[in-house]
Amino acid sequence: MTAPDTTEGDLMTQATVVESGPAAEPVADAHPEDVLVLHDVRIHDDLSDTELVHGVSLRLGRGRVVGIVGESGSGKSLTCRAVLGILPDLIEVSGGSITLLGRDAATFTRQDWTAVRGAGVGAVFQDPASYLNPSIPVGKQLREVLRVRGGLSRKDAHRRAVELFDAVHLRDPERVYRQYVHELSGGMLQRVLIAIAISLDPEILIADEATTALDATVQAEILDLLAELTERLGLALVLVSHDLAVVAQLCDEVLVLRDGHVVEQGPTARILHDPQEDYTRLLVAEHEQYGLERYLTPTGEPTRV
Amino acid sequence: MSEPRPILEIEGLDVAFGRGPARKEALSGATLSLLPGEAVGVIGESGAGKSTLARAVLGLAPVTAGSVRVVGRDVARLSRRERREFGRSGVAQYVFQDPLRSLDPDQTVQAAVAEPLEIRGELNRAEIAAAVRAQFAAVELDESLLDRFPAQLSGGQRQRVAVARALVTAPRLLLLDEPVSALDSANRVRILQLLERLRATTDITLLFISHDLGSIAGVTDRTIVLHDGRIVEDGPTARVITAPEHPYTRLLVGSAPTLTSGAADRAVRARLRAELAAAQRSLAEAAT
Repeated sequence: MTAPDTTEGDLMTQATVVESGPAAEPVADAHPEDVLVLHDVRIHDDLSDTELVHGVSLRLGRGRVVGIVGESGSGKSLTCRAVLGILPDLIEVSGGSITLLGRDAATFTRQDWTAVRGAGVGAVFQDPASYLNPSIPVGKQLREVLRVRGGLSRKDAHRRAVELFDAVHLRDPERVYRQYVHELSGGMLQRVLIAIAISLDPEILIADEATTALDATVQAEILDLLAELTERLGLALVLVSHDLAVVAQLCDEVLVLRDGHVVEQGPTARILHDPQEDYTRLLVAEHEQYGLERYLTPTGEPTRV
Repeated sequence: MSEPRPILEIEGLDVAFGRGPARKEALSGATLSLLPGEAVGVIGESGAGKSTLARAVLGLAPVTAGSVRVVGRDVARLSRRERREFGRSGVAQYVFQDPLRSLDPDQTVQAAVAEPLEIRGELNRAEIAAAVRAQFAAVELDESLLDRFPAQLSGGQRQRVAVARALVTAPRLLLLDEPVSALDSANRVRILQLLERLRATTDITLLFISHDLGSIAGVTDRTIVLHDGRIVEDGPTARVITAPEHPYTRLLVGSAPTLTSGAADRAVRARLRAELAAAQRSLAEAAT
């Protein structure tokens, strides 16, 4: 398989083109700016012969942010994995369609998926350390991605890796480049993973519980970074969390998932201020009655001092 | 007797792990006091000293200076026999994040809740059975679950069993270390409601340790902020959240995800981070 069409230069502003595979099939109501369209996606476990996700639909435009809120077992991670083409064995998309960058994912060959992952859609997950090799400096691991997948020379790949570390606000990027996993904090490792995820200039970034294991102040740093990247690079973001408040920070639209069903879906402000379903109301009440919001007005200003 | 005696009184507590060059101060000069009926939250990030503080209250931390008095007893300096007696009394009880680790997998949940009473040995069999059933009702667990093993319950049910076991001896002090962090929304709300009810009906004293300012806001009336092994702030929860004083607390409050804040806060957080960094620099300079 040849590397995707990425060359030297500013990878971050360069659009990704997936060359191989059949021509894109137009989706009925898709907007040309949509980079990801899910239409009634169903996910089925062949082993137990049960449907796990019962129809998820969403549209994501360039530079937009969609949030998926749900607890473990809600199907949020399966939905992400379906978009990345990495569903576990015997679990498959059994209905509906996923349109990635204008192409129907059902038609993707293995090579298409390999090409599209990284260059079309990147991802970061909860435990960054488990995605890195502990015996190789982190910079070298990013350099290899840029060299093998991005087609850069060793020297250019090194330079680009340092630039990317700088772009995700890792202080002293040259030093981080030479460091190993055990020498970096959880927040720094997540920045390294984000640098790797955006290194091939994808259009879409999936962050699945990417800030869950981090301390509150570090979680906010990573969310701020993700927000900055969507604005600066026009990256479309799928932000997945069990915490409605995390998703509320930067999403335009929110999907509430429970037991594989979309409980409620809509603009973030509407979901937060006028939830229609009991489950969504519970998620909101959890914060309003037993959270910081008790002491804050709707504008975020303190109610009393 | 005008002033009520504190339930928990920690004075000038230093705890250090390791020796020689590997020695690390986990807590430095911690001083705090909990009066009967108070619910006090302890917040801080990993490595700030939260778990060390919990271990110190349990009498399990290598205390190098200071004292930890639980209902008048210095738990840092108990003999083995005294520690056993103190444990049996059930005056101070504990609930941790993961009930699977604090409940015996080979014991039915009924036996688990009955055990502290059996160890104390003051009640007969029928009285213990009645107390267990009453405690089950108090934490809203169905009696049909009494004969189950921990693995046969959901995470939320297990945590309520852990709370029932902790409360069955009617403790004066309940230490909760991240009690709702592993739970889903419905179960989190349930545990927090349960604690609220408990406070309304008894004069139990709560020490609620968490990395999540949100759940601390939900149940406490006072909040202690730990940073780098030191207590940097101790005040009414409402004041700590609405008018935080220490640069770390200001950043923490500014970083907490809420339904109300939005992208506009990014610039504010950047400023708060710079202020905390500056404060730490000047602290380091003062130390040298």
